[in-house]
Amino acid sequence: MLIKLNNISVEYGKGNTQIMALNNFSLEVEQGTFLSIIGKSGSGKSTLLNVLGGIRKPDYGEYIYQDQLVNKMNDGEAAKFRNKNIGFVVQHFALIQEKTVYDNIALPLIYQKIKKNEINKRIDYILDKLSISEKKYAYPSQLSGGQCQRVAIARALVTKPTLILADEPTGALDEENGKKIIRLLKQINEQGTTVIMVTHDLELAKQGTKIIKMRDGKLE
Amino acid sequence: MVGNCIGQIRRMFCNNRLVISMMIMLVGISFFVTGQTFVTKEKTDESADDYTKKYVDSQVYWTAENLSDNNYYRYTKAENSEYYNRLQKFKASLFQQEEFCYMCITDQMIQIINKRIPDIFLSGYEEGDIEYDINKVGNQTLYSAKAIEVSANFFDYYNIKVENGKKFSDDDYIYKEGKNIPILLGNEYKKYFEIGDTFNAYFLCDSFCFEVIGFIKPQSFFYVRGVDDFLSCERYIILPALDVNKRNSFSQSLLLQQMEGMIVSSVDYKKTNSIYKRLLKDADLENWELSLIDPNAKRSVSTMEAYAGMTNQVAYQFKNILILILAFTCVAVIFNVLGILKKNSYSFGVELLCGASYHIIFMESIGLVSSIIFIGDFLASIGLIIVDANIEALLLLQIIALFVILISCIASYLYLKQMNIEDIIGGKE
Repeated sequence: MLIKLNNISVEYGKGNTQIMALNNFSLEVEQGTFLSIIGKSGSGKSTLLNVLGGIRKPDYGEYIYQDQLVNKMNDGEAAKFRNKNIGFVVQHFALIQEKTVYDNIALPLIYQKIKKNEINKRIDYILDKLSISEKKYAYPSQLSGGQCQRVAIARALVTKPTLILADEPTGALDEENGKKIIRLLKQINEQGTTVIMVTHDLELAKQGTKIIKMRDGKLE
Repeated sequence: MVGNCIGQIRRMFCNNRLVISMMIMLVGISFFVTGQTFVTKEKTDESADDYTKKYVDSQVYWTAENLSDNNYYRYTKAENSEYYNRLQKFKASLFQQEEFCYMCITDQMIQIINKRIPDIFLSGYEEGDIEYDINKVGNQTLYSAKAIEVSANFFDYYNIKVENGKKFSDDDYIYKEGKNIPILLGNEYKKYFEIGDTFNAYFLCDSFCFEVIGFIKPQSFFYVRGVDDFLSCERYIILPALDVNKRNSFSQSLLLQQMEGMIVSSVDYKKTNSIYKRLLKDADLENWELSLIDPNAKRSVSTMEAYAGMTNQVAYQFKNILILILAFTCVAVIFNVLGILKKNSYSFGVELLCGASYHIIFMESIGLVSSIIFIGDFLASIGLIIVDANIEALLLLQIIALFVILISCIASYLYLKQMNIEDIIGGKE
């Protein structure tokens, strides 16, 4: 079992304004799954991704990732956990505009304290694989939306993570580029990497091997 | 990792060039003004302490000479040289007293012979009455210039310094026949006289040659009992209170005139007066009309206390200004730092997604904040060195810089702690 969430609850706000983003939520994800999570806005999908990525600690419940108790990790341990195991692909790419493609992709490798030669090799390999080698020294502002998302995927894959968390990965792209990105994610999944994708598009969700639907912080 | 941290700081610098340049300028200027205010505050504090010590903690009394015609006649009569000697003895005993400090300050004009001086230096200029200050006697035109005759301790007491030239030496206070009388001139005289210049003038009805040996530093003041106020030295000629061994009409007048002076005493009037009277008695001059003026008779001391009070008030205001500037610097720097952090929060969020810990982000923020403040501090320090600030001001600046860094770091830490990177992934539900 790659992921096990037991009775996870996440609250936002206090008193009358308190919202239960995740309410006693439980989930198990096997290694190699392409899990699509669908649900309306406010259903708890993105909060779930934040919890899975070790960004948001659940207020209640237990999060186990390959026998590691993630919810008990301190800030430093959670950062290492994210760096080693998880690659993020988000709707608006999360690229640093002032850094080149190369520097954006190198970022997670720097936190792994990998030597520069090895970083260069890995970046060249991943850029080649995603067919954006010629954009190595371009800035995000010089790229199209599809190219930006490819760079984001390259950055997510460069550390060879076991899990890719994709939050509306095609949300900022046109249909054609959206399809290309989904194809890419499927390829990644076929190579053994678990992919969890959040979307509100049912057609897109059907590309996954498993679909769950969320409502009011719970599985529907 | 450190390299990446430095790289990130450099990136933040490059991305916020204008804002960071403005911040460095703000920090630099604020620090410079703080340092300058501190220097001024220190000087004002010193002056306030000095004034308090001189005019409030110590008692100031004035001595007066009102010799009756009878005594004056006996004093000046050719065969009565013992009176001159007694007065010399009395004067010496006044200067030797341990309970108080006697100072000669005598307002005594001199009449410059055949050398035109601007009206501002004439004796009656401030009162608008210079009509009698220029006189023609035979082929001589006499110009009555303002002058004071002072003893050596006058300079220390009023903190009056010589800016150009040299101050009076011990030798300058001893009159020798045929020798030029050295004088110091107020700053306004600089346009008309040079060091080494000599001129002839009447001083107590005798003609002497005076030699300029220096100029008094601007903003030098002394108290004049007659006008009950502090006067600037700018337009004054300062003469040494001369000791003349040989008895003649000049030395007699001079010595008698030197009996009018100031006593700074650590004891009250009654006690000071009793000492003064004892000294008169010891010199066998108890029946002479030499006296210590009762301070209640004039408001001279209260004027001096008022000056001390004002100086203390100025010192207090400077302290307040210093605190305000410091507070302004801290608030301005913190607001700007938070502004930059806010601008970079997206980048921080991305870094956190990529595996950076809050610790690393915090280090980057501290690096940025410290760099801005250190550069500002460096520029301010150079500025202060250029304006010749003291070492205390420079040290204070470094302490303030560290303090501002500390405060900024705390503010950065609190900001980063509440920074929400969850927004990068979909935002709050």
